[in-house]
Amino acid sequence: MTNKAKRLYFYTTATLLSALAVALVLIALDENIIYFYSPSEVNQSEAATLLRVGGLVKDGSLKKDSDLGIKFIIEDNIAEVSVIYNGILPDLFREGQGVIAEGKFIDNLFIANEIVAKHDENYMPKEVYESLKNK
Amino acid sequence: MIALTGNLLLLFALLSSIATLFFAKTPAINEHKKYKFACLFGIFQFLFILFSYFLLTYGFVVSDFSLVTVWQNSEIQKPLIYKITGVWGNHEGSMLLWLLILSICLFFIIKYDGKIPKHVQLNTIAIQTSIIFAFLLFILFTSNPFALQLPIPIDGIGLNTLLQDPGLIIHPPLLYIGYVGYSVLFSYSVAIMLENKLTDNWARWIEKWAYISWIALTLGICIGSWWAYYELGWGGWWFWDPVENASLLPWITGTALIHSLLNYKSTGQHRDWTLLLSILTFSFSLIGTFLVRSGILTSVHSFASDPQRGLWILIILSFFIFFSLFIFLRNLQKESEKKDFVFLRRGTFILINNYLLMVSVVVIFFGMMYPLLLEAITGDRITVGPKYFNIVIAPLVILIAILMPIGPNLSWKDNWTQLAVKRLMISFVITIFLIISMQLVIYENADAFHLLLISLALWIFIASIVDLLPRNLSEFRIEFSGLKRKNLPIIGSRITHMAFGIMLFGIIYASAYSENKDLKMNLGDKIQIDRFELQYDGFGTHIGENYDDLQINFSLIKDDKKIANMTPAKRFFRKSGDITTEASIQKYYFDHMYITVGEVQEQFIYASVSYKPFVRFIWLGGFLMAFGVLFKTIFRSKIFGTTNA
Repeated sequence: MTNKAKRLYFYTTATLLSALAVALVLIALDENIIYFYSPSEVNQSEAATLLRVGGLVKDGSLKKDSDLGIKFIIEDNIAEVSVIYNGILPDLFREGQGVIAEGKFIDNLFIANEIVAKHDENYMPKEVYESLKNK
Repeated sequence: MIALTGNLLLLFALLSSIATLFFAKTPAINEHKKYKFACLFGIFQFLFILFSYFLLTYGFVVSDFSLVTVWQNSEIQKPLIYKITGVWGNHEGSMLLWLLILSICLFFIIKYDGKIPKHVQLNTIAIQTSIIFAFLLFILFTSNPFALQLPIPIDGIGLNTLLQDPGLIIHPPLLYIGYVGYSVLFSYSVAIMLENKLTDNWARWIEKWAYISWIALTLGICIGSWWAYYELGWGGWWFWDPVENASLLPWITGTALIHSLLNYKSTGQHRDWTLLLSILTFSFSLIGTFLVRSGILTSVHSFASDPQRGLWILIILSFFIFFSLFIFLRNLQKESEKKDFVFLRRGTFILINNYLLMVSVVVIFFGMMYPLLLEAITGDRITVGPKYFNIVIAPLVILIAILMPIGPNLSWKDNWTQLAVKRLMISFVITIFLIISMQLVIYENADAFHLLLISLALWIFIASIVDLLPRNLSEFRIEFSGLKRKNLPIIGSRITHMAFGIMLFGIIYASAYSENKDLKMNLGDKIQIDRFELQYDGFGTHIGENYDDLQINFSLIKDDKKIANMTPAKRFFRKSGDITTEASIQKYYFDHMYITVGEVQEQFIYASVSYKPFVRFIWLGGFLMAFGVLFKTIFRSKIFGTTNA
């Protein structure tokens, strides 16, 4: 094989692999993006898709039952979403403060598998801030 | 007083940088004088910035709340160590640290790179100075750490409690040394490209900077990961958080750069690509800074969002990236002579390495920017889940891991193919043997995918060791005597490759075989996790300097014998009233038992308990990688020393 042919093979392989990578990226992206909604935007019929709901934890809505189950309401001054979460809440989870819950809707209840509250007391998740700003 | 002096010092630094630029570029005086004055004012820049940095530290130490930055991020009660390191625990101070490191780099360029021709040196100093100049403007106009406020408050607001941790002492400076160290590579590369006639030595000039920055960045990322692991209380060590990605991108391009430099030094090929990589690496450092400082991506690292700051950095960033790309394209040289293309050569495998690393950069960068892109176009707000990154990175890591041991076994020029095949076969057989015996002894329930990945980690580890055996047994003694000098940098490289294998092993093992339980425990309850039992014994208190801990006591039991006490805690900060969760981590060989506690009631607690086998390999591997390159750097300079051979 000539040098030219060898180089050609080499770069063709690289190009094909790149195309493969692009395909993989698109597939992976399609399955793993998580949409963010505020309580008033959320469409509860969108069952069984993983999504994020963000807003403020409604004052007085936090309830704990005997086990690890935790119930609270996320609100945005217009609508409310009831959330159920099994697990340990982050340190900075407070009533009246910003929160993002990731999970799925089942029978009009939002079953969260993760509560994101990695902000300090002054800081609100960007998405929450922006969705509340317009309310 | 501090505010005024600080502002003056920054102003003097700004004037010095203007003077440096002037003397570097003025046609009025001869080169010798140009160089002398540019260097002099370069040193002035460094000194003024250094003093201003010390002054700010002093402001923190004596709690001078007339400075807004000090007031917002410090308090009288704060322990001294966090007053000193708290300087970089906020936006303004951390930008001053960034600037300080930029000027320290300038100082080193001036003081220790005397072998480099004066005109290249002069251009390098000018480019480095213009970066300093841009960041000085940025600090003075948008992030002045010496901003004054009156009347002076009695006490400060205090440092974010999550940051009051030993991690703060070391993680940011190391990361910044890594990020900013690449500015030197950037300055040299642009200066080299500005040359019409090229000397071949440039790869040697910039090599040590490529190593040092890489070492600092690697350590910075490792320590950051370790910090997140124990402090954020999730027991995860990598979250694909945008800011983590931002540090990973220059790390990957920096890794590609180190390899490409080796290739250029040995074969003289891919000069432009190597220069482009050093520009790219610093560009990613800038992009990382932009993303963190502008707050446009939600992340654990956001200090405060201020769009104006983001805009400034975006301008700086665009200017330097486009400027350098322009110079790059203008000076793009047609590779003078195409050498014979032979597949089984080390150079070819470095090319493949660079290709795979760049694909990794592209897919990570895309995943990181996609939410911004989509929001700009459709207005939808999304998050790209960690699973995306795992899915796209896994095949790349697999390819890299398969190929990683092959390249170093091949020669730059000669045909060692037979020998390479023999050695790789030995490594392959040992790997297969180990994986089968491991399978028989430890885990019987491994799935094929993880088994493959673990085999690959072992493959890298073993092949790196086998590669250190002398190439020719009959010449063993010659090789052995050569060990003292010539082979030492090679040992460094192999340590780093081996360490990557160790890290990969830890990552895969800990992800695949960790066990986690979230549960409610009553006093005296015992739970079973992996081969251990954990018993909840009650709680106690511990008084810290500016906090009180509520400690929850556990006994870790193995085979009915207590092997350790574990005390995760709830930490109450007296001043702010903040509560943080302190994890308790117990080592067991290379494994960790990890406990955090959620709610604590009189009768019961909520605990999250994890057992993470081989998780310590992740950081052990990371540190060893940095050590390998350090080893290489030290012995490389010892060997080549002043001769610059």
